[in-house]
Amino acid sequence: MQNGIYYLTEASLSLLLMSSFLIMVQPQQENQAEKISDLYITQCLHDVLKARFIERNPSITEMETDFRRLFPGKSGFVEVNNARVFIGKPGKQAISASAVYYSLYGKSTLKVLVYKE
Amino acid sequence: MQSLDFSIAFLLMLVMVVLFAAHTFTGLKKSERELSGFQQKRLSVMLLDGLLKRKAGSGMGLALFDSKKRHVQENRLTASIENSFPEGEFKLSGLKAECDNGQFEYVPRKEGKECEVLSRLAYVNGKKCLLKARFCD
Repeated sequence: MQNGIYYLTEASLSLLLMSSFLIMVQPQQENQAEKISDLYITQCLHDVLKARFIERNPSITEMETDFRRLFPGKSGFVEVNNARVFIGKPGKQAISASAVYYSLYGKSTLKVLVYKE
Repeated sequence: MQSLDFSIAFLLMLVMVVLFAAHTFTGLKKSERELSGFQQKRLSVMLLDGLLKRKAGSGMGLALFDSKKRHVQENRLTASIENSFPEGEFKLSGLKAECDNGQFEYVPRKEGKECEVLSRLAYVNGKKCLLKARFCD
């Protein structure tokens, strides 16, 4: 009787250990997929900022247009020198990118933020 | 009596091991599929980014995001995309540029079942465009 209980306990413990390993492995894969989505969003945010540098025009209206084209249906905001334009409703998690633009007329700070949810 | 208890414990252990193995096997199969999808997406995101970073005059002559706004022939652009995403190897099923001066379809390929569209901003021939890359299974 004692032997049976001993083996059963040992098997249960092993199973618990193996299950915990499996649980530890699974979220990592989900995190990796999430990281790629975040990377893609960051690349798009950089596109919005880069476009202002290429056109040499830190225009908030153009930034808003680019945001709406790149993130249709998503909410967030664009900002130039503390002047902020909101797009949609604020969400939960967000990714942002910012850049500083220097010209003969002075310094402009550009910021763009997108809510993931 | 003792051997009967031992047999019951052994059987229970065996059942648990079988159940665990089945769960692990189905789980792994599922994660394998997810991982291949994830790898495909990672590849698509990276390749598209690499394509956008190329400048005219270097390599294959892409002018996407070209700050110098050099003129690039449309056929050279298409050839570059074809070289970067050979059909069959990559699941690029279409690449369309929605520019200020119209729409251009660079890689018109077949439609797939499950498609994902990645959009990026790019400058083609000095015009700002929304580049839409469609990846299908």
